[in-house]
Amino acid sequence: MMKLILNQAKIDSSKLPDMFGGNKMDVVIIVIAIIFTLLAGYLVMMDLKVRKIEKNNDLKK
Amino acid sequence: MIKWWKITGFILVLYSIIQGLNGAIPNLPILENSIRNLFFHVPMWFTMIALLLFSFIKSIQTLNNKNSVNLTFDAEAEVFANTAMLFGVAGLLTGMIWAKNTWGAYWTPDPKLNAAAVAMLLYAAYFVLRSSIVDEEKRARISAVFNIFCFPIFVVLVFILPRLTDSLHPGNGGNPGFNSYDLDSRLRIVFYPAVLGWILVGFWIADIGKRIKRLSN
Repeated sequence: MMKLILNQAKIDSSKLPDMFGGNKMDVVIIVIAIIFTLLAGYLVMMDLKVRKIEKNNDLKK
Repeated sequence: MIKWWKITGFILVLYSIIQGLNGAIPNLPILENSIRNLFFHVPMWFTMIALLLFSFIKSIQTLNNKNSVNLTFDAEAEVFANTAMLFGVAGLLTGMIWAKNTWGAYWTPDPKLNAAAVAMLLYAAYFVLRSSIVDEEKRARISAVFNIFCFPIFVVLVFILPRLTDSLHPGNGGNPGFNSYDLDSRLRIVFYPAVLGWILVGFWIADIGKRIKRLSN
């Protein structure tokens, strides 16, 4: 097990696949895009909720 | 229905995230892929400044009455400043990550960085001042005056003073800005939509905050 870890540590970092060239970056982009979409979804939800309360208040008046 | 400018803001930011992390960038030493942070760090500050400008205008409108202060404008000034601080913190965090990867430290005693921190503390003082006054009219009047002085000081601290001395920060102290690296405009096609998108999202957040405040009053 120890030998395996040491062998892995010896790998030259320049030979590792480029993060921005491989599929891993796509995963990062998708995750960030999903997080932002969820945040925007939360904003939409808040916007609609506030609008509903505003309409109810207008009707009461 | 959600207004068109809110949807536009969302689409532009989503485009800037996807294209900003995936699109072509100029091959720059030291900066390398960290240049992509330009699409996130700088728009945060631009959004903050746009919101602070509106907060400043609302504070002027608060006092623009001979007999009494306008409390609605005062509430709006506070919401704009609040949202601006949210983007300011995001700008500081994205900048710190960038600084660590290019300058080797999260924070350096750079005039631009220190001035930005002082400028943000000024607005922290604005919120402390607001919370320390109970009387609504008095609070509106005093905090509006403070805010009117805050914005020009903010501009001087962040945009003028760092340019008069040596600075690590691009575009300051004789350092070239990013426009000199972006010869084929690969950065611009993502950067401008990112700035506009984040500003629209910032105003969207402020709009919700304003309406919630109005309802609670």
